[in-house]
Amino acid sequence: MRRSKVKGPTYTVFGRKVSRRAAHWATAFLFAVVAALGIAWVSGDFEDPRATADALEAIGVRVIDASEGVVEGGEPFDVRPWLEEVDGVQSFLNFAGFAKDELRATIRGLGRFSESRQRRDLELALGHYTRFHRHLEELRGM
Amino acid sequence: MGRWLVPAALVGLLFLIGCAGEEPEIPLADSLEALFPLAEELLAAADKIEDEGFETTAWLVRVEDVPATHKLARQAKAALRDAVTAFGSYAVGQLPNDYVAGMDYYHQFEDIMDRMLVEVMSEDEAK
Repeated sequence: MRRSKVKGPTYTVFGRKVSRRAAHWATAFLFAVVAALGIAWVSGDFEDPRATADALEAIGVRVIDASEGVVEGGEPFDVRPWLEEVDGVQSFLNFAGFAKDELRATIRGLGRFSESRQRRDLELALGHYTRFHRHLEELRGM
Repeated sequence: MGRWLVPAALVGLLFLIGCAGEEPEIPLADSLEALFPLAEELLAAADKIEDEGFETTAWLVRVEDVPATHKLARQAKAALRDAVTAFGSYAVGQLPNDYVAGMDYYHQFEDIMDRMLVEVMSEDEAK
């Protein structure tokens, strides 16, 4: 029978003998990785709420800038590219989802206004825009 | 002792990554300075809604132009947005409740501005 080259006290891991020192280091490393991932998860590093809020806010501000042209210049408002842009912002947190819903409602409302030219449609869309920002603030406060 | 080195290094690394992503803060005084004229103009515009109407989108664009990263400044902008959309609704439907809501939001905005002013003054005193 071949003798193991490992010296000193050993553990048997998956049928192989490893030194206790190496096993302790490997366990410590695994714990560290799990702890670091846990801390990152809890602190929201996997989805930085501020980064998500910033990304959504940037789209929202451009939507409002574009809406000025729709109101004053009577330009058409193509909803689809804006909705795709909102969908492109990755989000797992609830408040990010709520904010995205309100931003989508703003965009759809502006699309409706650009066709109907009814001022009421515009005001409803902008009401969604203010609620969108409320959710963004909650997202930032996480 | 050595066994804590790796976890400590990893936690430290995560902390550094977290810190590197922080955006620079815009001073509260700058936000306050930008908000003051808006407040006065909005109140004047609200008085003339029945005669001159109310351009909600133009107002919202002006609100978005105010630089704000501080929590209070963001809250002030949020209250101002609410006031603007409520006044916009009043301009369309002429429902008194919308005007009252607009004034409520405006007063919330004023309260936040007062808190901003106190904070800016206390910062100045500390310097």
